[in-house]
Amino acid sequence: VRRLLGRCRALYQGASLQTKFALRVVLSTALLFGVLLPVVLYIQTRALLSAVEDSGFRVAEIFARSSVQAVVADDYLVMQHVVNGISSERRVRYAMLLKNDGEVLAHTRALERGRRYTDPISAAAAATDGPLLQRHSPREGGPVYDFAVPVYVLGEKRATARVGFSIRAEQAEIARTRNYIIFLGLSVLSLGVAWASVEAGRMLRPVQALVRGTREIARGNLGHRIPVAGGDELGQLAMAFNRMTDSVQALLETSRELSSTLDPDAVLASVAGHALDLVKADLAAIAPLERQTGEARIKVVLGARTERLATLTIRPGRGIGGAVLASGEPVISADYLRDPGLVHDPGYDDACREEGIVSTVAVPITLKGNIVGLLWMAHRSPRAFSHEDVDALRRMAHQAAIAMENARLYDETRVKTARLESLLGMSRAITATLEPGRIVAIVRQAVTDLMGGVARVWVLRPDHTHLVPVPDGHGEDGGGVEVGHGLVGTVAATGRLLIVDDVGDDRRVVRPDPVEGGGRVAFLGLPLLREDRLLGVLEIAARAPYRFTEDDVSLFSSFAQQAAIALENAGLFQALKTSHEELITAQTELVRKTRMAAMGQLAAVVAHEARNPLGAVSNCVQLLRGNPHITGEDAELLAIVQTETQRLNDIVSDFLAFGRPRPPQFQAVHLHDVIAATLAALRRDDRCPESVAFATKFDPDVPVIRGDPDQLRQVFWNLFLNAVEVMPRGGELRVETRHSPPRVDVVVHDSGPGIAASVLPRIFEPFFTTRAAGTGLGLAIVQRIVEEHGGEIAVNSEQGVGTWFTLSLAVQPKNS
Amino acid sequence: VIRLAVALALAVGLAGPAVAAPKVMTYHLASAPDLLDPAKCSNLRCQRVMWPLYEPLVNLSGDLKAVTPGLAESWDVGADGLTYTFHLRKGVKFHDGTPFNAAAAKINLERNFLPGSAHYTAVPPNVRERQLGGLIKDVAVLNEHTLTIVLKSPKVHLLFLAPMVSPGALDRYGARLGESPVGTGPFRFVRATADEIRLAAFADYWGGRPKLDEISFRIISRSDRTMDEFLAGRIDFLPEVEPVYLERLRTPRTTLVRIPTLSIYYLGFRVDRPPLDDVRVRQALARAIDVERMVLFNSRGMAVPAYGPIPPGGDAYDAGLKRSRYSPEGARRQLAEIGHAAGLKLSLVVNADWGFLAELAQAVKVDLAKVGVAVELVPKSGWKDLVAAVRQGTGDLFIYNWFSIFTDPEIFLAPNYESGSADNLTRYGNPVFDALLQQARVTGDPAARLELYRRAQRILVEDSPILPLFHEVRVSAYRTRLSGVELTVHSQPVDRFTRIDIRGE
Repeated sequence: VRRLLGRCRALYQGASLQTKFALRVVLSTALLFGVLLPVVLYIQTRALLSAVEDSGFRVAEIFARSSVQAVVADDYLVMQHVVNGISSERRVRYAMLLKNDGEVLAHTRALERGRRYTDPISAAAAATDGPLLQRHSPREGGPVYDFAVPVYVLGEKRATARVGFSIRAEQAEIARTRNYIIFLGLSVLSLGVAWASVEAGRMLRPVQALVRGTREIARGNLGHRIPVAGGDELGQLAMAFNRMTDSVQALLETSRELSSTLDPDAVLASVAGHALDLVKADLAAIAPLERQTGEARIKVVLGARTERLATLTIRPGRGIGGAVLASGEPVISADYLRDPGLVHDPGYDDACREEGIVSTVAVPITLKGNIVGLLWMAHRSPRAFSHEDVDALRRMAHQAAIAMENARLYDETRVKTARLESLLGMSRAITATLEPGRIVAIVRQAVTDLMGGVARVWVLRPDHTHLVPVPDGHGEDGGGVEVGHGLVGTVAATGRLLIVDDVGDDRRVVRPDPVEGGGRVAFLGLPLLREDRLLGVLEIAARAPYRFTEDDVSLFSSFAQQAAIALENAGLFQALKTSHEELITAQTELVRKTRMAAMGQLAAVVAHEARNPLGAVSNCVQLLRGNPHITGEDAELLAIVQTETQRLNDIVSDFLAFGRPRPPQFQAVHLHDVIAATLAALRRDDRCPESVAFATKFDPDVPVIRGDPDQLRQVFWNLFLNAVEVMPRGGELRVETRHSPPRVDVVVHDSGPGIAASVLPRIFEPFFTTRAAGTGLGLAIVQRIVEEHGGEIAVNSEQGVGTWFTLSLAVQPKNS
Repeated sequence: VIRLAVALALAVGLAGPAVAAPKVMTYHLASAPDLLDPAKCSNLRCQRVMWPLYEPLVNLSGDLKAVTPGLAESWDVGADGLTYTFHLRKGVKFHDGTPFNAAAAKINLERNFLPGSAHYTAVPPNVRERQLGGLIKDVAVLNEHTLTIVLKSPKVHLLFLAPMVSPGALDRYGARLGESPVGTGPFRFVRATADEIRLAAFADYWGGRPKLDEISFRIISRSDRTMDEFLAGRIDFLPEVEPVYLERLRTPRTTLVRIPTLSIYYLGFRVDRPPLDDVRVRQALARAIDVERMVLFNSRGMAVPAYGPIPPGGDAYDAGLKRSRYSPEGARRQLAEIGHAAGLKLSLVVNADWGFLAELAQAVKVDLAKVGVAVELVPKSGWKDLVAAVRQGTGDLFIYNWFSIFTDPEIFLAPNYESGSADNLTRYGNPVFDALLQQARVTGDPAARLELYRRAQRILVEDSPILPLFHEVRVSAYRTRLSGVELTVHSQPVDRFTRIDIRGE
């Protein structure tokens, strides 16, 4: 039940006014009739039933009297006649004469005669000595009032006349009345509802217009206005609503402009413009308060005819603006020039007179409880500003305050941004230049831009006793200052920053002033420190009285750090220069070596040119050797020629290989095959002693690599040949491969006598050889080919154990 | 909305007087008629509704004594008394436009009276078959408006009262004619519902358009509601008023008309078994019952004491008949002489539906008690139950009645008292009486017939199979706004409602 009630209440609260009104009419009507119905029915029931009682007793009385004679004579026909007469009465349901013992003498239904009634009602009726009313409801025919009146003969009760009255007619009458009332109630109800609906609709139309207006506005349609009908409360409400909407629209537009522009003047102008529209004034002005002077200076004027207003300064206590400044409350003046409540100022009054101003109002612009300006409006007609106007203007003033605050914040931000920009510029400059003079120029420029001051950088001389200014190309070099003397010297001596607001009053200043020729100068000195090492002093000075703020100090400290870095960088740069010179010496040696390589090439050219005739010689010797006619000493001589020719050919080949290297022709190479083939070839060569044993240990994981098979064969040939040649009395040549991705290592080991440690570093040098017959190019060629294959070669040797050459080859050389 | 409502009200207000309200007379029926087909239904309920719908060839005057022109303007009777030539009214039309002519009359006569003819109707039973079937020998159309009827015997009284129905409607509706009755009467059928039958004036009625526009037969079975409706002015005509309501109808706006009916209520004795087979016992009981006093005190004016079996109104009524004088002492003495000094015990069967009869029974009981005859009352509900009980042998005494719509004495004598008649509840039988009736049936001379019926009545009173109690007086009531109300013996408006008009009160 409670939940149901709550639901009903919620439904009611959610219903429209019209519904509520109708509902109330319905409820009150229903209540009225709900009370009326039982009361009327009660009264009617009582009236009707008492009428029934009256007539019932009367009829029963008549019945009894009429029956006396028949009862005395015991004349049935007369009794029945009387009963019939009584029965013909409209409401009589039955009439009967009962003997005292309940026997029926005559009855409306004639056949009842002779029966004896013993039911309680009949018994009571038969036994009664006086008029008796009993109410009962037989099974059919509706309720009955049973009247019994005794029939007396000579004082003796002989019978009872009994009449049953149907009260159905009365009940029907009561029901009819009830229905009439209900019908009436329903009629009134429906008429009431209709009337209430129509009336409520009529009355609520303006309210609904208001609601619609509110919805429109909530939807953002601020241009919507409610039609004002009549001057009653609703009309006033509509007017107030429209005014509120104007105000909201103005505020909204102002805030939109506030959010879209950062130009405070533009926003103030917009505020003034909307204020003008809002109160339909002729003039509007906004005067921000200047904190230093406590005066307000008009910044924006709209609707003015002359320039005069724009130049006015409002002083507290004077004129209407002054009154506002003094009191902090809005002031309305219906007739400004004749307003005795204000302190008049001839300047203001003249200006107002020129403009034709009659009625004015001034509203304070406050921010966080402080007055920050004035909003001033005026009419040229004698139309006083209302309190609603003042309310609207206050809201606009609030907007103006926000605008002014925004502007201030913006200004602050702008300065900070400028500072950060100069700092950034400086950092960039320092990373871009190594010239201390250039850095000083940048610092100087930044200081001038930010605070209109000058800057100078002093450097500590290596003797640590004097500071000299870094020349920046702007003159004013001057001389040095001694550490501990003057402001700069003090900074250098203490290693701490120093601020002097008024140099003129400071006794530490050395005269004549090293920076400027006297006058009032503010000074900021900052030590240039690098890891606690004093490099110099950054001096910043203002030409006008200036108060260095914390922001200034923190900014210039950054400058100082940058300058210190720059100075240090400059020092480091000098050191770098020195090492560079050393490098050049080394380069000279390199050139010499290059020159030697050129010689090698030259040799190669010569070898190439020598090769063809050498080939012819060799062929001829081969032919001569096959001639059987050459014998004896000639044949020996020819053998010598042949051997020497072969030697010459080898030499020329080496020279060619070294001097005219050809770039490797990369292709897939099975390293093991190459090694095996080379070993096989070596075994057939005469220079390989029979007693040398070959051993291989191939890693099965070694992949196919990319390389030049000819060149690789050359590499292995040279290495193997070297190895067997150091083992003329036998030994072991051992070749091992190992896959260590992404490289393949090949180790070549001989069990020869080993290489002397003094010789080992030079074995790859060209033309270096320990053998009389060698060209000294073999290992140089090996090293070059390996390097051209993107590989490396290393050598290890141990006296008496042997030598290890380790090749590390790329599987996939970069330049392949 | 308000303007519209005002306009509407104005329109209604202005239009109201322009359209005269139709004159509608409302007529009460206690129950719905069975079928509005004269060949199928002849009871009073049907006849009340058919009265303005159909017309027969001839009419009976209001007192039933004279035969007056109906659809036949005149007629000739042949020398043999069996050949009738009817000259039909010209220009008569049925409600459906079918012209009434000799051919149409022939079809109707055949339908009612000529078994075997094309139009004879037997299912549902033709109501006239028992009474008059086979009476007509031949029907001949002489020309458009002349018709000859040859009878088998000169029993003519009912024959030409057969209402004429439209042959066209017969073709159209056949056995369902009763649902859409079409006659030549001054009113035509409009519709029938469970509680109303509505008739409208027939504009082409040969006797001119009736004054009423419509007749509404309202069917209300509950008498108290009927009375309320009448008193409230929603019923114009009550053909029969129940006695109990008589007092209430004595108002200035109501006219009461008392018309003695052609009826006889009697106390019947079972003459076929002791003790009432002894005519002396019957005569003694008759002397012990004070009939006049009973009627005087308790009939509420709706009965007149009866002395013989035939009600007044017809030529056969014998005003000279007397009953033996009321004498309880004489009766007791007579019973003692016969040997019933110790008294008798008898039972009396009574239809308790009508209170007056119950009162009569009680009064008989009271009176007989005074002569030492104890009477036990056996109440029955309705005549049908009573007849069934008596036929089965219940009761020594019974109160019964007999009605007719014609004054013909045959109807009051033959069915109840002729030997072997089904309606002879007393089981009375007297060959002399039977012979007289038979003789009367074949006697053409009216005066001779009347004499025969007089003799028969005297024999019946002498034999006392019944104690005549009363003739019922029917009371009709109508609102005084009706004018031109004149009623027949059957409480039907004379000239079939055409004289009635509504004049206001």
